[in-house]
Amino acid sequence: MAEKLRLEWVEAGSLEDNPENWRTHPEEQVRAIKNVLDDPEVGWAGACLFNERTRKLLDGHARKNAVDPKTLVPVLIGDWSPEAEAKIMLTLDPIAMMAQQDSERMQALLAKVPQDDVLGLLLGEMKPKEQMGLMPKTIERPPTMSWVLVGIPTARFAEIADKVEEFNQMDGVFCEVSLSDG
Amino acid sequence: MDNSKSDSKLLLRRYFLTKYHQEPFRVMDCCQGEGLLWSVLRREYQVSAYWPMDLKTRKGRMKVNSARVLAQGGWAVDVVDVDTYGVPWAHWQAIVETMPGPVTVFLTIGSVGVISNVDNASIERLGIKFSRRPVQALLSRVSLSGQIIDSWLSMALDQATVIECMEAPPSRNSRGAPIASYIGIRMEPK
Repeated sequence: MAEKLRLEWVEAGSLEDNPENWRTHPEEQVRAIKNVLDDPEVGWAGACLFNERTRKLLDGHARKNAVDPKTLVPVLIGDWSPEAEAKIMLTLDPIAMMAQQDSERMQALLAKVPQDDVLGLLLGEMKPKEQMGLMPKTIERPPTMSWVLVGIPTARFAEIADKVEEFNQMDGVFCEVSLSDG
Repeated sequence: MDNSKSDSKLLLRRYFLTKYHQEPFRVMDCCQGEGLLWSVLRREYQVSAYWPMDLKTRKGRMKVNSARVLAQGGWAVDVVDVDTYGVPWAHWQAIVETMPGPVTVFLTIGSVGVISNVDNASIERLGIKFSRRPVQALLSRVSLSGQIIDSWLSMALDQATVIECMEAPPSRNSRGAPIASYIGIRMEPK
């Protein structure tokens, strides 16, 4: 058992997707993976998993598809029966998701890394908020408004048209005209 | 779900959830509709409790006026999502007046730009009160959406400290005019 796994560096394109892989990877996740792999401080911090008996990839589909096919990627290679392979594929990620959270330790880790860096890696783009499309919005009280309703016989509208236009040019003033047919 | 709208909505929610909700959190989804937004987000984040509500009947959710639920107070959630087709102001007012603690709120504001039918509460909030009644027709030509949104959002300033407010790209019609705004707010009671 101790010698069951070995690590090799393999071209990503030589690892075919396993048709029995039940995990799907949305675009946002692949982008986040690519960001982590491209981060010069991080790179590959784990390995794909390959069964040399069945010649199938068990884990790491999203990671190997996130890189150029010629890229050498780390692969842990083992030897399992088809039944054991199925057990591995069914339990690997679900067991990982059973982990819970120690908030204090997480906060301590977050204190070591700029929050924008973490957000950028998770959200898939190392860009300021504005370039991601989000804009900060300042909440301010708008000016208190006075509303004036002016009714004037249509035939006489020309007498005040210039004044209306003058109001319309004033900053912060809303001015609309509606003509009634009767 | 329209892709451009969903992209904006998801972008906004992921930003706030990643930044403010690292621990398991509780969500009130006030206008669940088809439930597509939170079916995606619940796969990505640790949602410990999810309360879907809508005025329309559907299996697995409460058929209830969620604005009235909020107005009654006593609700204990960390995130309130008001993804409505119309305007969210009744919900917003209730949240501001009854929030028990820090909360993240998502608002979808439909009918921006030139408003064809301004709701009465917004008209009153702007202080438009005339004894004569042609006002509604006049308002249909005036772009008051910015004023209305600012007026309602500023309601929070008296009772809360706004930690952060962000706006996602609005959805637009075929002519490029904005038809809905998406705003996220993180705030806590004073």
